[in-house]
Amino acid sequence: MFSQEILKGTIKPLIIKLINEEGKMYGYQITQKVKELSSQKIVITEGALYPALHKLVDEGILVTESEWIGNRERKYYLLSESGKQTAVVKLEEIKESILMLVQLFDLKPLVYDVK
Amino acid sequence: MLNELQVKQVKRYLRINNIESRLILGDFMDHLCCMIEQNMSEGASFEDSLRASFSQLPGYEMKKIEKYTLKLLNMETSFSSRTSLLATIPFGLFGLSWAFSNSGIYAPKFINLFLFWAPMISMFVLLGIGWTKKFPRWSFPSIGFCLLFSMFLMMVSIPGLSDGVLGLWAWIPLLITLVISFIFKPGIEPIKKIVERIKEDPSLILFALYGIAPFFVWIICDEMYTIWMIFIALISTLILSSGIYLFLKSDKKRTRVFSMIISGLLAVIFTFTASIIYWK
Repeated sequence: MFSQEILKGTIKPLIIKLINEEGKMYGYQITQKVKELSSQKIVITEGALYPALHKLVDEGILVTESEWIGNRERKYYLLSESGKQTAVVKLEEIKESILMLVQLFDLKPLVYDVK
Repeated sequence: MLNELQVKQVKRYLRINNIESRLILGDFMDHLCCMIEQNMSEGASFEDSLRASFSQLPGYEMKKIEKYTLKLLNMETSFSSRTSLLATIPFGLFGLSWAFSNSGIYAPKFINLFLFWAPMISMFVLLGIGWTKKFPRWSFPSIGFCLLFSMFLMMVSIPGLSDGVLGLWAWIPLLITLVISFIFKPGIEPIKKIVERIKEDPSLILFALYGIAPFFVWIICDEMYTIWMIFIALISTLILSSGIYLFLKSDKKRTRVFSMIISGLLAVIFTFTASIIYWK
């Protein structure tokens, strides 16, 4: 499992990416999706997920939508109109940062091997 | 899918653990229910799933997440002792001013002038700071004070300054404060934040009104001149300040509202009793 410290800076872009792909998502669904995509290696804790989601709402990137599921209300998070444009910029930014880290840590052969 | 009774059990768990922010409550509610349903779909009973989910996401952890999220959004409900104490300064200044002006103790004119104006000015300064910081909770008493004090001033006449009552001129200090604050932080975001905060916790209206409390108790003692006023002002100020301190320090909504109402009532009863005794 990866350390939360390493993941810290990537949580917001990761949430944006997932919501951009799925259209709308709720908190628990995001944690499960990340687990699934990372073959259980990345676990987003509730303590990292919800502050990030609420901050993204505060920044106007995400908006919420509520729906009744059985006997409880479920809050879905989706990209706002301006958030859709921000998403492209943020995702490009994180891709560039990751490529830079790959270079800095001299991971090119490893990336090549995986390919 | 959990039934109504099972959902109520989860809700109770959140209430017991003092999760009170409406922003976070819905998220945790659904998250816990999903965890329980996931466990149940793997064959566990509701009781076992409930226990497993609660141990996976314990109450203290949720409270920590709630506090951190609110801090991140500049929507904190509880503050450090230092901040809570600093917020009581304008109240302390009111107490000091009251104790000096009504006790008959001689003080040089500039000290008297300072003591008279300092509490009022401190409230307007607090309002200005509150504006630039998008009105955190500790600035709310200044909102109530500045509005109510300006309304009060409308009915006051100041010889040498106005022929009759001040009327609309009474709003000039507030207007100047807002213009200066606007220069430092342009836009209406601070106003939006006030609305957002009140929507999240309506008890903040009461807290804003609490800002006028030291001025109100002072008015009760108008025209009363005795050395005992030092004692009365000190006790009343201490009671009122403890209300502010507890409101800002406490984690629990019930404690916050209760401490504010009790201290407000106590201060008024104490001062009122003192004035009755004096006039008799």
